[in-house]
Amino acid sequence: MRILTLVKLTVDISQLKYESSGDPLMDIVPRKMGDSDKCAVEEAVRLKEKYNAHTVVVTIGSTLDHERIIRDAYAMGIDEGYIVEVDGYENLQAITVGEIVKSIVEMTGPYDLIILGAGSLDTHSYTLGPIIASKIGIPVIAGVDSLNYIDGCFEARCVMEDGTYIYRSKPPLIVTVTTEVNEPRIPTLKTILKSKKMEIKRLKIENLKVKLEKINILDIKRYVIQRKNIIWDASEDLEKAIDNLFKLLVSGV
Amino acid sequence: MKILLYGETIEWLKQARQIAEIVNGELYGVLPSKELSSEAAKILDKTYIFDRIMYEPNTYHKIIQKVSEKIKPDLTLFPSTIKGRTLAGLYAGYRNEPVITDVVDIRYCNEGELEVKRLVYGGACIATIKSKLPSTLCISLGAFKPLEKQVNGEVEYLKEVEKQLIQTEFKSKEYVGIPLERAEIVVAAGRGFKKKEDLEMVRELSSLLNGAWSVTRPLAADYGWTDTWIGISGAIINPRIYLAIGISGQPLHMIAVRNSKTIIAINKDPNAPIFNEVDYGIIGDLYQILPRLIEKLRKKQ
Amino acid sequence: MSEKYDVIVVGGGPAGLSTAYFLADKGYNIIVLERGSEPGSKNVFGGRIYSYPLDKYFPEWRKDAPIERWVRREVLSILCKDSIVNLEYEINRRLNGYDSFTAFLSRFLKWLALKVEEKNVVVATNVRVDEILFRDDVAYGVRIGEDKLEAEYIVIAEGANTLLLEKHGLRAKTSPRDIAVGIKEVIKLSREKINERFSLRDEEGLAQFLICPVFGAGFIYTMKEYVSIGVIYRPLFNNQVEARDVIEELRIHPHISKLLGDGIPIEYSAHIVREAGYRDLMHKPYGRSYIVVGDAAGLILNTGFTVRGVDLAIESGRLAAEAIEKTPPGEEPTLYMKLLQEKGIITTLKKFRKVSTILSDQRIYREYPEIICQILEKIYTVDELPETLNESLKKAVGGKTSIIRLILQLLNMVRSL
Repeated sequence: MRILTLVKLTVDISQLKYESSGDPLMDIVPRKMGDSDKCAVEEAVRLKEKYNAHTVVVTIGSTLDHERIIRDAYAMGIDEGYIVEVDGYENLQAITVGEIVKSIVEMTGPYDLIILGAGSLDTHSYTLGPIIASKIGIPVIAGVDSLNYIDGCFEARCVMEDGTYIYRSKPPLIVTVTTEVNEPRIPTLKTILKSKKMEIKRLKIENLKVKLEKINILDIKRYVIQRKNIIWDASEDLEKAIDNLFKLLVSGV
Repeated sequence: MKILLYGETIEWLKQARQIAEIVNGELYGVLPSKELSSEAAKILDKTYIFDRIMYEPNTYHKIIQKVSEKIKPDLTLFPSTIKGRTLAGLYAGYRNEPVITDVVDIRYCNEGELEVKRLVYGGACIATIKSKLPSTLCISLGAFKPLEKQVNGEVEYLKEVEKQLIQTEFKSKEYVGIPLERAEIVVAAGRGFKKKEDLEMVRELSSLLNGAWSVTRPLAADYGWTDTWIGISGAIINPRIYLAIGISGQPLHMIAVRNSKTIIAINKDPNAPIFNEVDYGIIGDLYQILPRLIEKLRKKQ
Repeated sequence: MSEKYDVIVVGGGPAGLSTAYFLADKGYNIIVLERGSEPGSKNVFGGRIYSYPLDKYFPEWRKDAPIERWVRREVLSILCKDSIVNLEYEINRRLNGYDSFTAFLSRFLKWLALKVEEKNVVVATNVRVDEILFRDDVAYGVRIGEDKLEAEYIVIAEGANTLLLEKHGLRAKTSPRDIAVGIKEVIKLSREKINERFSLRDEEGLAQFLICPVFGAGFIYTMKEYVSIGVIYRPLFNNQVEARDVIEELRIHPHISKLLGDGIPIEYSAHIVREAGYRDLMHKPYGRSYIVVGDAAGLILNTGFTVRGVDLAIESGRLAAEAIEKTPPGEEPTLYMKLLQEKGIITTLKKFRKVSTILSDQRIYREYPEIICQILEKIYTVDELPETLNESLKKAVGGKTSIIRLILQLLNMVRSL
């Protein structure tokens, strides 16, 4: 079995700070591997351990942090890693990312499974897995909460708005996972040391024959919905707080 | 301009009608259920219906793709739900066009371009993006006002549709009372609740208010107290009143409730981030407040 | 485990990385183990770094080191309730000629780690060392969770928080007297505003030291588009204000709020500062097959007016590397202490011993600032009955201390700087 995982370097949204104008301070916010991408790496490594798969990881961008997240994936147990060097990686159109992945699959594939996080921390679009599926013409199962491999078939469970879906499909398949799918391992010293010595292959975007399309972002501002923001402290007057709440709910606001 | 949409609820079709007004286009729709057809015909200029196929993104995509080949839309709309996003990705990948999710505002520019506002960073920020047509957009439910405009649209039943591409099993969520997405009042429980049995208070409160109830992700995914939850990866809601009890207000939860008209929160911690985003907040212990509130509501009835 | 290294460096701060840097030149196979997710992730200090050791040992460092601004204005300020007394020293040189620069230590350490990795040193992050392994008093490795890693030499560079050294009884439990808490806030302010309000040009910076009766000692450093303000909080002496309120107190002072009032606080942090100078220095910062460097050994200078850590860390790292090279494994690298003495580091620390004592003297913060402000107020306030300088002095000092004593103390302080 051959497995490809994709990891994205994303803004750690819990640490966003803002200018008084409402502009987020992008130069100081830390970046990290997306939480659900980390779960995708873990899932790939678990399949590797069970079925002796070969695992490959790819990230797009050319900062030092990109190298760090590839090494993090190595430390978790991934066998081979690629960095696709692109400037302005944060503003690539999703379809361009899909094209890049397609061309990597052509160069390094084929794969039985392509696995990635369902939604990234920064945009949470949930669209990349499906885009890749259309680009390379294999099916996708998105938002998977548990994944098994039984008798040559992947079995994926997805909990959605209206109920629980269970899908079964033979490889090749694209799967996007939520953070419920597993608890990623913490690398040991041994695997960290190993990850340090592993080679990272670098691909220049120019050699991939991909037409680069960027998102034309006019601006990004803090999103504020004006709320009344009336606060009652029940520790001062419990009865009054309950009464206020009661009146609100009964009146229907 | 031709607009194609995929949808599962009438409420969403009416919101899409509002968007059609903004960009001045004809509205076509692909719907997965016969039950929707008569209502849909009053909203959409043309409705394509398929039926009795369990949701499976690749199969659904093939159906939508075929309709799109007939219509050749300039703009395609999906709801920003998990299903909508997945289908939008497949669709945009197939058509090789930009896809933007979590859209809350659209402006039509003359040069065949759209200026779109979308939420990013877990709903903390709003980005303005210029996008060429054709484009695919996933619309944040509740961001556009439903438009009541009666049309007399045509309905076409899609006969030769794909068979299920991937083997699918479905276990429906058991609805107790009103479904979350349609409730006027939603009560939700967060980590402030100490044990599963205490959710009974939330259930009773919601039924007294004639509303629905749910929980945050940790209670469902980590503790396993319920099957579903409110959050970006679960249900996205826009009720008239959202009452958050024992919920701190993590970004991925808040993005799913931000379109609620009024937000009320009860939390012990005065520094809980949710208090920055409420209309009314009560700093206090839910275990003191809920029993008395329920008692008061019972008496009234 | 099959991995075998010549030297294990515990801690990826300035001292640990420097030691690794110099050892790598001597052909050792080295691994640096860092607790944080990346080098410097635990360091929140945004402040000043002296450039002389970089000039000596890091060719071309000016090209890629993350320099924020070169320090041109040095200000010593005494803050009273509503007044301020400044002593300013301003240097005008070509940019590269300045002695120090401001930087975010986390970014600087990332850079330093890169330089170290370029020499084939392994810098492993997310690794917490639980124990140093000893066999008959000879250090032979470290334990990390269930894993063990062996080496011929262990360099202990765990920083100000000396948990490992204390655990193994190599260092006495740190006395609260020797520890202060550096409370820092980073404030976003546009480049133009910083330039205008601190009268600086684009690449030029300010380093300001503050003395105040309310919060003790504090500092201001200007970065490119941020200002670092901080207070050295001494739990034993600052009992007027709670730790969490000191920065707020500083920010609302009329002088400071004029400079930073409309800035946006974007990061608040607190970290341990060792500041006892010579008293805190380990008498024997080494043993058989191990050596202690940087803050952990007490090699930091808080002169009250300049805090030196990074440059001493680099120097001590270099000397530690030399001592390791010249001492066979299993023996005590006594040469290390000798080198520290020869190269003047111990002398420097001794010289500042007094400052540490003076700094922990409450009068420095409580009484003298008031006295100085009052004297100047009297001198510059003109009313019907002008006072002589002597009279002003007497009134201001009152019964608190004798004039002679005050003058002596002040002189003593100035001489120690």
